[in-house]
Amino acid sequence: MSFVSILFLLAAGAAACLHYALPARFRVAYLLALSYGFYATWSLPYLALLLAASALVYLAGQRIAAVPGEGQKKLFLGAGIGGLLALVIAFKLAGEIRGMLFPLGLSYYSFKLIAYLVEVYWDDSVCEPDFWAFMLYPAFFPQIVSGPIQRPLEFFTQLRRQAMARADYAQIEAGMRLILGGLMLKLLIADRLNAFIAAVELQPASYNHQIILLEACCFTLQLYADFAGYTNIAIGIGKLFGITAPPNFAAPFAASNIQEMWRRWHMSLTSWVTDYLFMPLQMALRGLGHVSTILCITISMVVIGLWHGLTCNFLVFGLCHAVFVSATALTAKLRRRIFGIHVVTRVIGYGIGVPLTFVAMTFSQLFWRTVTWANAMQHINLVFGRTPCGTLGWEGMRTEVAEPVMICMALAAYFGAGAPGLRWLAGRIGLIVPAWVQYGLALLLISTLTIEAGSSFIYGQF
Amino acid sequence: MEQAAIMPRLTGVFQDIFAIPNLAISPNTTAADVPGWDSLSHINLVLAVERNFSIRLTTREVRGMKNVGDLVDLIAKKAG
Repeated sequence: MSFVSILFLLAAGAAACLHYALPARFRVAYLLALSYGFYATWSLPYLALLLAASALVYLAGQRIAAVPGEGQKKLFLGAGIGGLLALVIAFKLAGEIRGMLFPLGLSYYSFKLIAYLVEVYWDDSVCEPDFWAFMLYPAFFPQIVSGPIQRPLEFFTQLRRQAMARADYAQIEAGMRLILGGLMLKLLIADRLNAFIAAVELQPASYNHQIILLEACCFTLQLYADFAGYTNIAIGIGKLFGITAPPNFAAPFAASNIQEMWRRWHMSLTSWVTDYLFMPLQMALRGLGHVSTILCITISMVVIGLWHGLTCNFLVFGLCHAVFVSATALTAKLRRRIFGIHVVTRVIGYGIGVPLTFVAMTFSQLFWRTVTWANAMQHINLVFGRTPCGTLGWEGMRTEVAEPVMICMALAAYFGAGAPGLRWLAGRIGLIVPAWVQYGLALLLISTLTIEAGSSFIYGQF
Repeated sequence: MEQAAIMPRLTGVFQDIFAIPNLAISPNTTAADVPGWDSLSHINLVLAVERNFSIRLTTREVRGMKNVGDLVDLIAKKAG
């Protein structure tokens, strides 16, 4: 069931109403039943896999907290993490080799479960004694499709609070605003950009160089609008049930270097890799100086790349970012010395850094978005003019596809840069136009401007 | 080691690592308060603290630190 289907959204709203009508002691069980019900609409056998993985990690967590010796703790931790990673790798390989369907949300819930095991290993008190509350952590339906990857302690604390609380109308309204904003990002912007990208991809060699370059940039903007739209809806639905997930995006297109961009893009994955892989690795290799930094960055970025899929293209995507992030880290002091001396030099540095970061991201997406190496090379050759481009321009595609591209790209770039001034403008509009009129207008826009051939969420495949 | 003696030495370490000569820190200072204190520079700070106070920190201890106050407590405990 898709997050953008009207049936799903109505069902989620009704389920949230019932949630608050239930006595506190039934709410966790109710949320668990809802989450398993949601998963079962997709696949029953893979629901059994989710149940088994969660139950085994629950037991492993109990053992890690209970055993006294460091060696024994490490044994259960290693077994738990090893089992989960083996599961993810086996299904990714089965998908690549045999075309087997990848279990919905496996990449996300296995990372949640690994986070839980490591946190319990670091601090026994994180161990969750309530079996049903624990089972809900990986399964919580607003987060299972594509995250955000919420941390265990944050989830359990909120779960206990919401189970005891009355409906928080401010939180519910904030959730509905996020859902509405997410729907607009996905249906009005991302899907339109997708129509343009799909039209160019049908016959890329026929289009002129300007269209090819525009399409490459368009993909980065579409990916943002699509994934940020999804994330807003996911966080919004969670809020209806009293659970606030961490953000996944914080104005990534305002980042002035690639390291900063990763702190703003798919943040719940980046921070997961930073805390559970990069930091322990750095601590283990801390005597090696710059070699350690480059090695840890490379391993972390390769893991981020391969997390999307075990393909050569995702590996190269990770390696591209390893080079970009390493270069950023190693030149940090030099850049601070050159650009940090005066407000004017800082503005110049920012003016150079922001477009350069966007170009670096767009270049790496040429590997990320393509399935085969030959396909990636075809895109790269066209973008860099190594293969002669065609002559077709805007006239080569349908008017309804071509017309909204520039405005949608500008809107995606504006929202991706943190929508500067929007809060001030919304405050002013709020003084004149009542909230219900604003919401009505947003719904009207969604219902009238949504294109028929909407695409599924890009990150749903991982 | 006395907590009062740790703070001035630790301030010097911070000023050196983050290249901010007049940087002032307090027990409540967090990474968000110091420009350049990110996951990459954090390890340089850990290394400098270990060298300066002749101690060895574990991943679990480093992960558990929420602010400068936690780091001071840790140094006080470890440096004897």
